Amino acid sequence: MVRLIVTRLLGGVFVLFVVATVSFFLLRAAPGGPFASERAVPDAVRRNIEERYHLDQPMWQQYVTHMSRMARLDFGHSMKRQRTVNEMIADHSPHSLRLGLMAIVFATLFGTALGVTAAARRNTWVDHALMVVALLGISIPAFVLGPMFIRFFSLELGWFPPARAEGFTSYVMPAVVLGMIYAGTVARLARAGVLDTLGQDYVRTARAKGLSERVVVWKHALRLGVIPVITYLGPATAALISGSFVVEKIFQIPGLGFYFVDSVTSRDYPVLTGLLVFYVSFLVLLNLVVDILYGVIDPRTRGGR
Amino acid sequence: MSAATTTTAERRHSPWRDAWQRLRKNRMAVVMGAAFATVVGFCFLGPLIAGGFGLDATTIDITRGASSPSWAHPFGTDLLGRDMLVRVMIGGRIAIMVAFTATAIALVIGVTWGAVAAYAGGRLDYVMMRVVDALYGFPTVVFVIVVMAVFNTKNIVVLFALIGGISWLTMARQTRGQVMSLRHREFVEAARATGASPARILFRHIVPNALGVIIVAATASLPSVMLTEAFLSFLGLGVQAPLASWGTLVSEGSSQISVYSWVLIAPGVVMGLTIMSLNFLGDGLRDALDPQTRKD
Amino acid sequence: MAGAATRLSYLPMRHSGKRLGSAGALGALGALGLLAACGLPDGEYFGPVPEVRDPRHLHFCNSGQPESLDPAQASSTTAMPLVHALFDGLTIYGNDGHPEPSLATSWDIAPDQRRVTFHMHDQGRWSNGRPVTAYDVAYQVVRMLHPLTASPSADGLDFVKNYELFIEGRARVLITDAGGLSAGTIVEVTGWAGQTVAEQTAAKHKLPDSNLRTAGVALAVRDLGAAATAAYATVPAGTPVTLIELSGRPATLPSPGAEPWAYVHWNRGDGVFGWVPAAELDGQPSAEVVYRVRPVAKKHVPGLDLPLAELADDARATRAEVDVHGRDLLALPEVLGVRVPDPHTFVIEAAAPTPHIITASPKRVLRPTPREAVSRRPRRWAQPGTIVTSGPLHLVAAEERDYLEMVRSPTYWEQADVKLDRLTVYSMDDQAASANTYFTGGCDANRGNNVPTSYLPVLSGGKRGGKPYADYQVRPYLGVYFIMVNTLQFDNVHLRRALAFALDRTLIPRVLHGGQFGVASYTPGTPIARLSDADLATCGVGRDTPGVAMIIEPGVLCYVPPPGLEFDPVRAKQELALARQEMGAGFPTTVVYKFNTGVEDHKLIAEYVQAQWKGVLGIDVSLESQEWQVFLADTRKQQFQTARLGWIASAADPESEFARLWRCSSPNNRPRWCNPRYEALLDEAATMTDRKARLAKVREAEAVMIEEAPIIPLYNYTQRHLQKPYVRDLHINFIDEPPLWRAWLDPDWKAHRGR
Repeated sequence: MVRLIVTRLLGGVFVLFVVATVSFFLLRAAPGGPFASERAVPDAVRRNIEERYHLDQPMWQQYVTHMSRMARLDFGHSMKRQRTVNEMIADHSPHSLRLGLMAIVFATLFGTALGVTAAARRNTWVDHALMVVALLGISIPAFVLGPMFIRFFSLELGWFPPARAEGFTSYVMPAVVLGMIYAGTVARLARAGVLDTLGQDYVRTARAKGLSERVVVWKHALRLGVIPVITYLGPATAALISGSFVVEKIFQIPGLGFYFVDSVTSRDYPVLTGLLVFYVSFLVLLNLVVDILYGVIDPRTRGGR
Repeated sequence: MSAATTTTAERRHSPWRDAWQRLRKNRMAVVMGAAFATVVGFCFLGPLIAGGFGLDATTIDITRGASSPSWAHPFGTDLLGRDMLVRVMIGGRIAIMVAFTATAIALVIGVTWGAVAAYAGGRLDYVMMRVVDALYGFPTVVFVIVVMAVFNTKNIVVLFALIGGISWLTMARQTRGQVMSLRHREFVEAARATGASPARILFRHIVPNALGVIIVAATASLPSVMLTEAFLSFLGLGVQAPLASWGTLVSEGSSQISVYSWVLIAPGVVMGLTIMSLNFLGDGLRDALDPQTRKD
Repeated sequence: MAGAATRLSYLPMRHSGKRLGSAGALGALGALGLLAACGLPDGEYFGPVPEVRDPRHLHFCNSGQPESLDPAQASSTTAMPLVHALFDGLTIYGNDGHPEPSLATSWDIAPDQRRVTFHMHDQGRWSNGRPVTAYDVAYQVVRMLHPLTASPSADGLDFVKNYELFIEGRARVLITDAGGLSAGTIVEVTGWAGQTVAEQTAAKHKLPDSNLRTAGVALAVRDLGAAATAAYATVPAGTPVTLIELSGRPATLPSPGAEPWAYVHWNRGDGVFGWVPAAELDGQPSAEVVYRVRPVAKKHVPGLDLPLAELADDARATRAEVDVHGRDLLALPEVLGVRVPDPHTFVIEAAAPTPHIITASPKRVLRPTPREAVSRRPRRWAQPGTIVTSGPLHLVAAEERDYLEMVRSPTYWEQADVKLDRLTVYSMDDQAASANTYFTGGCDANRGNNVPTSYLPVLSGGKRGGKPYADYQVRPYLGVYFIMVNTLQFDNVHLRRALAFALDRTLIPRVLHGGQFGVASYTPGTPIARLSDADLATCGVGRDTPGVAMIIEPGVLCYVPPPGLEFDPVRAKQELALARQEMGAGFPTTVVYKFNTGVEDHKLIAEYVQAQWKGVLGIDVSLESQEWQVFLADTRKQQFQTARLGWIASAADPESEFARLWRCSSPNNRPRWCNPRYEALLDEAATMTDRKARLAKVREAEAVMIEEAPIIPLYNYTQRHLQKPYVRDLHINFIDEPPLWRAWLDPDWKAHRGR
């Protein structure tokens, strides 16, 4: 177990290094810069700006400076905003976290319920209908589902505010829209997982003991059946709590996801690198947690993969 | 984890035919497969027929502007008075082509990467999979914006390749998993004993046996590639105007939902149906092809 | 992962209607379609009108997150009205968008239009209680232009004497007699260490800073005249600091005692500025560097009044270069054309006649900033808690990409002018989110144009039987949308003219639905048909004159741009034939039109242009959309044939805001059009002091440009606003600078309707 953790953490550091390096050079390779605008500034002004942000230094020098700062967990200062990247992460990630957790809870509950029910009623019209509902989330992009929800539940019915994060109700619609994307996958995995375990010996035993189908499915088959769901939830959680550009934009939630795209389009170099490193660390950690969880849920896999 | 038992000897029983039989019995998959075939026909043959009625996707009629569905324009017209029916058809062509091309590219890269990593094992495997991990960390947009900028093109082929280039990661992981479980099996050992080269063993013996998993992964990637393209269109990075993929149409339509709903409904329903049918088809294929089914 | 085993032999297969599944799929999608199908609710107003709870609290949906509230760093239209509500100016934008006296009660303009003297009252107060004085204005000018500030808006002051030299760090004043020049001479550095500036720059050597100083003791950095114990930063002995100002000189604060103090910058972290007694700065790292300098031209010498004719002679005279040492030189504020004769008089001097100084005076570049706050946290002072303001509103809270909270500033000098007690600004970067929030009553007013294009057909009534919502307004906006034609590739004037003649601008409002004014003339303005009678008289045109006019100074000055190449298919074809003849094989088979992604309008316009050029001229147009940054980089490098651009002015001046874009040396001249006659006309205009004659000359130049068609104007922008019927006195003016603090909410709006 310790060995597993150490190896994975070392791999994680390597991955972080690659991500930081690639994003550093990739974004700088793109045309434009943080200070480009249609109103061209005179050369003298441009030179002063570049000097202030050290963009006039040779690339390797900028890289070394930046990487050594990152090693000290100082992600640098945004070139477009009056804040450090660390402050941005600290200020915005709570919003993404709140939204992401709500979405993941919704996706898990809704998806598992659909998937397991579908498995219990496999190959009936209930099964198919439920799976169609589950798949709606994956079949319709969030930027379509979001405006539809706003249009109907907010402008028409007035149940939820159409935008901005202010209180619990304002998170409901974005969380559902965001969660729908994941609920579909969760439902499919749960259905497949449960169907799989239904054929296993211990389930047959349970069935032979005369337990009702409901108990068999929800109590026995579910336990192992959700393993694929958990595997999936690891990286999905990392993605969810680091925010979603589309949902945060449509619903005007001040989360972190917005900046993943915004830092690219505005060429805010330190912000992109900082956010990616933050997100990938999350990803590495959550994958590790998932692997540890395996051992807890399914003792057979304990001690290795 | 249990593994495939499809050895060369067993192949004479034609597992593919078995799979086909199983797939045909899965009526949901059959219906959805038919739906997908219909959409393909609609998109690739439709414009030819519509052309006979004088409809095309690019003729602008500003004085008409957006008009709701009518006999002349069954799906209505968009803000510039272009016929939505043909635009949906043409958009479908692009979306489907993007999906298949990108998936093919992803397939080649992903299968090779995953198979080599698994077969080589050890340190190389570790490094190759960490590279996959690192790439997983990158948001799609970063790649697309930067690569488009570096090549300074919006050529549709580059777009295809790009989406393929970012979709192979899952494929690589799945192939690796499958190859790992196959590489020490008897038929591989047998091939090795005859002195076959690693490349030959890998691509003649192991990969064909992992084909089931690969096909399932490929089918699963089709809809996700379509959605990636739609997301890029939402960011304005999709195909060039006046071409429009479903992604473009849907992202344009979603902003007009309150005003000209048909601009969203037509492409939205067709695209949703396509993605859904591909998903069901994928599930059906997996059920049919997954070797595990034969265990019972 | 294991796959699903759907067929388990021991389970009875259930019979079921499988087709229901796919029917369900269609049904579910169809339901969502229906959900989408219902139109926006009907009504007199866009969304329900809530009760007014607090008539002195306005909720305002702004167009996004301001990048900064520091007048030196903010540059977006999003930030401007907020910056201008927080920081008072000599003049401010009035209700009509024209300058209005504020800190300055009056001003004198020198006859040669090269100097303006502002007379300030003594009522202005910073939010920390300190009076706002002319020194604060001078400090702002110096700060705007100082290389350490690196303000992107520095060129807003490009008329000031020695502007460019100062930004480049090459303007110096001699502090001792040296090289045959007397102390006090303003010089420019032309080289150092035996080489010219150009040679040194090519070798990537930076100009050694003669303002660097060190101290033998630790420096207690503090406010001017404060005790050393009140220091907020301590520079270790021997650490170099940059000297920015010396007290007691023509443009700087008087010294608190007999000895001058020095305002220095310590480059640590985000940097710290502050005052120290000048005598403590005894070390000078660049003292022995040999600089080659020459006196600046007479027209650049601050405080020197000379007849224009003499200045013209001087420009041709050669000025001798001499060698001096670093210890003889200092870059000080007095090298710039700013002077503070007394705490309530501010003088700004231009190198050439500059009639638009007053027109441009409300801009951020002349809004004083609080030195004490800037010094302590130069990059981040303009945030709640540390910000010190001088305007009607004060910032108390802010969450990025969420909201800003402002309250009435108790120290503002003109309390009667402030109707609001509280202003909540939501940073809505998504237009639909903004309009939707307005709809549900989340905000009382929506920033101009923060409405998605797709809502406009409904808002403007096109989809409601021609009945626009009563709370939707369209107003003129001082911006122009045009197509640039790369003259390096399309060097045939007939081809460009053909492209211009082929566009029917009257279709544009039907494409964009925003009431845009489709017109082929360049300099934007208000549609003449919508001018007041008084403005019509100023402009000297009749109401039925087509086109637009820019009111520069109400009642005094108006500019009617020369007519453009309006839609004329016959002439378009004639010009095309000529072009084909002249260009021969060089005639392009297709034309590429570039636009940037991210804004729906650009794509609609692109498709409209494509259809028009194809329809009228038979030219195939291929469209190319690019991400904004790539688009900017490409157009700047002339990697385009035709491309869109928009230009929005921040002051009503045709010459400085519009005409100069197409001068040969302009960094914004992306079409690379360089016309000797245009240059000559504008050069001539630049020397003129009579405003009317000068405008006539500018108009003549613009006509030359229009006929040559390096750009093809399409339309004048409009501002599309939503404000609830109870909102009063939110004055939306033609440069989108509403004085937000004057707005209020009328609880009895229903009774007052129709007033």
